[in-house]
Amino acid sequence: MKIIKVRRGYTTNSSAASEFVPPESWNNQAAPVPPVAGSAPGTSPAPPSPASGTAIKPFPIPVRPETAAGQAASPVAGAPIGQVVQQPQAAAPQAPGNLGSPGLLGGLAAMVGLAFVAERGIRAIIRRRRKDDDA
Amino acid sequence: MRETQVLLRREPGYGGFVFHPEDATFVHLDHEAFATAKRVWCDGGSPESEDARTMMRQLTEALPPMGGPVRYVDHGPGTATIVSNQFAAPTLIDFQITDYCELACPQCYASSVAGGRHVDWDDACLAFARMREAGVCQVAIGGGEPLRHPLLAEILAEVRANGMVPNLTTTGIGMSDAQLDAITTHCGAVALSLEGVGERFSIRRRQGWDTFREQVARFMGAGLNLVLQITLSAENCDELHEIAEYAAGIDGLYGVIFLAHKPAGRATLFDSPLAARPFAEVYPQVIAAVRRLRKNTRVGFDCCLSPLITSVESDLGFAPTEIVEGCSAVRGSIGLTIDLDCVPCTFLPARKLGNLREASVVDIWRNLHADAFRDLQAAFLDRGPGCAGCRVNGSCLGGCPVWDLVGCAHTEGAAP
Repeated sequence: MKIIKVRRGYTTNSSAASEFVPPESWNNQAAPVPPVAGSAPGTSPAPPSPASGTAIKPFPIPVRPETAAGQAASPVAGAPIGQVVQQPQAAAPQAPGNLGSPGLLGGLAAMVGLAFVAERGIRAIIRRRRKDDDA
Repeated sequence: MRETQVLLRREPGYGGFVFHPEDATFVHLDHEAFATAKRVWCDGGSPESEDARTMMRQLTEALPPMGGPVRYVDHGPGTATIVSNQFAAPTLIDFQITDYCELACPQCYASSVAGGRHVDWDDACLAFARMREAGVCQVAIGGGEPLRHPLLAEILAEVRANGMVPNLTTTGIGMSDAQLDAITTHCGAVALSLEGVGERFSIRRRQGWDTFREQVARFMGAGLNLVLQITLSAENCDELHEIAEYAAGIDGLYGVIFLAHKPAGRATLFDSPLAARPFAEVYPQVIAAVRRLRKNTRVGFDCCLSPLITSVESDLGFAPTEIVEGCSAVRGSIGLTIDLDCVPCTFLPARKLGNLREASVVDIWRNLHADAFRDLQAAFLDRGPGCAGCRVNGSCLGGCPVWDLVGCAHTEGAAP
């Protein structure tokens, strides 16, 4: 039982439906992604989900700007909204040159991502406990 | 004071969402959380476990204050999902309420003209009733120049009366005080278009730079949520730093939205899509502008720019697919013409899905024409190994399935 995602912002144009990137002052709305070795600027690192070709959208829970301090959210892996349909070629091996050596890089990225998510989770628990203690 | 109507809409694919009109706040819930919210808000029940109480507390905290009744919408079990993140009905409809605009700007994708027609009042009321029935949350009102519609104030009020949020794209030219009052009262946000600064603006927009700045001051002075929509083309992306600098200097700006130039209407003859230039030339300018603007305001993106957004979200430190949503046409939104023809998006006026005089929004959403467009989106990913092997393709969807609008780091290589 959980909140999958919170999204805020008026949409003025039908083709402007993508998420607003919040101002820097709201920066802890999103969990930053650790840099992946070998990935060039402008390329997306591998998601923490198994390398399947098609991404299952992990909807993280952003924190409200006014309550953001000390409550950084972690991505909720495996919490898709809607169903991601497997495309026939989506599970095909990654194209050469896309992210370098995909198998090695994917494994490395998954490990880094896992460690990162665990670290965020522990931090969140510590913060929550501190907050409870304060209360 | 306006009553706040909160919407609770079931989505069979994952649970459902709560929509609060204030700041267009969506909270998406999984099946259990959604069932709990419905039990508590709509059925007079109470949370049945500690988990449920915790979730309800978090949900209440995530939403602005609840000022009125909660309306429940359920479209039943739904239909087969063809593309990712396909909603049971649109959450947003882009309604072109008029074809009239006297400016005849050279890059108008709607090809609006002086003497263009307005939507009939009865048709507008029918459309809003149909939207309410479908659980639509926001109506993006555009044109033409919506201010030329003689019943604009009544239209905005009618959108609100049906529990939806109207947002407006306009030039602001010729706006009466009564219209400004109605916009201030009813609209969530108002957008002005900006594609250059100074003389570069005046080349693209007939009202001219000084008039544009006057309108910015008028809207900001009225306390409205003002959005600047920047259409990015191969021709103006070199001016982006200047545009961003200007926008960043407007205190209290609600947001900036980057749109992809599309070769539609008169815009087929003026400027060209970003894809005309190598991604490595385009991207550094975009990311620099985004970084500059984020110091002051929120930054949004046209979903047509999804291949570019995958790089932005990575470079800004967001998780993969956290921002990018892909083409929203017939997945989360549709366009509506003055004749009540539903189209996948307003850039594709000839691709009719159905007409609201003859069918409901949900019936049109589920018909074969809508599915044919979704098939097009799904098949679009098969066009080459660059997309088929990409790990974010389920969200990005490869960009616009109709036009090649922007390149991508995954297929063209990273920026230098």
